[in-house]
Amino acid sequence: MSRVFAFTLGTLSAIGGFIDIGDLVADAQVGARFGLRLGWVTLVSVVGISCFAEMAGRIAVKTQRPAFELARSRLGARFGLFGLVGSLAVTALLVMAELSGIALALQLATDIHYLLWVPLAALLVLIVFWTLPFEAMERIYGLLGLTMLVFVLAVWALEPDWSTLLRSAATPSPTGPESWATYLFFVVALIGAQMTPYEMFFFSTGAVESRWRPKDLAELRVNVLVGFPLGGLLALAIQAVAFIVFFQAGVQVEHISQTALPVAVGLGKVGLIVAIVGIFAATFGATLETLFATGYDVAQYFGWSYGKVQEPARAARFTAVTVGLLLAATALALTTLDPITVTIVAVVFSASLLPFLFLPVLLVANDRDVMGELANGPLANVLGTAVIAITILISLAAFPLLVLTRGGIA
Amino acid sequence: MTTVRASISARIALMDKQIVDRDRLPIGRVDDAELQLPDDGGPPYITALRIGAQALGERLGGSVGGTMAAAAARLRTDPSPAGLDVSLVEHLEPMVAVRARLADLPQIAPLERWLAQRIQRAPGAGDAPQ
Repeated sequence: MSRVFAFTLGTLSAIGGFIDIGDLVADAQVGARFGLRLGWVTLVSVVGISCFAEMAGRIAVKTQRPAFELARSRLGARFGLFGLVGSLAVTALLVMAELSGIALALQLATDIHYLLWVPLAALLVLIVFWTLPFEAMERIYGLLGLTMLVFVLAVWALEPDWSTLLRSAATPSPTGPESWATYLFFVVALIGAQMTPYEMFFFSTGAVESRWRPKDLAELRVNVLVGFPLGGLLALAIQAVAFIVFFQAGVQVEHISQTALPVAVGLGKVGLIVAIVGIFAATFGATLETLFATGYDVAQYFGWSYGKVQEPARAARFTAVTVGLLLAATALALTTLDPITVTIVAVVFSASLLPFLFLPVLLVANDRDVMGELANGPLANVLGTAVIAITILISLAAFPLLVLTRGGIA
Repeated sequence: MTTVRASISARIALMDKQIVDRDRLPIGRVDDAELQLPDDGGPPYITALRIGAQALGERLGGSVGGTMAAAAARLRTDPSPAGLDVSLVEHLEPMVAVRARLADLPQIAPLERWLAQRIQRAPGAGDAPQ
């Protein structure tokens, strides 16, 4: 049984981390405007996040310490603080966006305005955070998140012209009316939405909390190699269905209901219901993951006790930070700030921070004094270095592109 | 007081490291260290480790560090940063391990204790979720 439990750690990270509000928004927008012409970005993201999640997990099983804890010892207090403040700002925005995502899924199901659902969704998150054990939590949302596979089914149900899909995927350039700047902006947005560092922090702390040891390494790798590609497949499916249904009609995706609409077109009411459950599970899981990741980051930077394994009172400052962030995110969501805009800004911010958060992981994973026989081999080093090189380019281009394209509008 | 003599770089081997108590519960990080210069003009030695955001802020300096230290100081009743006598240190690798138990070190993390008392009163907080 423990194998099944362990397996869901990877699935939750994939569904809740890879497919979160950022993907539901960015993938659908990209699909409607560019078809599968940005499909290659998802492949890069899958390779990148798999590579670094594997390293972070390997560090965790070897040292029994999660990635962010080592970041400060490795980079020093000042540089570590920069990474902490940056990822705090990004995940705070993401918590708000994910929470709105839960509320939007409930709006889809009930037709009641999402702002009315926000406080209720926050309360539900708080109850789950407070009472549910770590493993039960990841199991429930990992399994519920599998309903997102309905997007893959919908691709077939929509009976697309496969040669058009393939031709689109093989053309890495903008479509007719779009500019290169917009195309590149969405490259940044997709990378930011898919290669989210909180997945890595959550994954590595999860490995510590589940007391994984070097003998569990094979299982951990299976999780990474099944979980993240599965997330990537879902992302491509969301792009594909948006392409098939919206591209010809020239419809722009501005609301999360449009992400689910192609499933309704292809699979009818039942498909839509399953998709809504999937969106609910993915955003709910991602809300928990982002909350935890933020709590972990702060607690690990200052060396506090943390964690879901302990009861809330045993990690009081961790609990206070996490609950405080949830309240702040709820308040932010209730300002009626558009969750789609917040999501796009958050993923671009996130993309620009990637090199700072990936570098310490690569440094530690490659350190034979710390890692011994589990240190990086040539494959991990080459891939890791290549991914960091890409993220540096992304990081430099993120803000100029955000301003230049006014968030992809121009 | 025992004296540990070692020719290691305090900055690399000590600073920013995780500190755990004898039950391996996290205490904090080595946010700063107190040095003493001996009267005979010998090399300085470390007398205490400083723990907490106040110590870290004072070490970092600048506007960011200053703000952090000021905010952290307001959350403490004791005006000086929390210190841990160096004689309590058991070993430095891979984490700084301390001989005492966290419960016996009242100067460390008073905020954690204050919050824990309040959280414990909330419904469901006592249920260990494992």
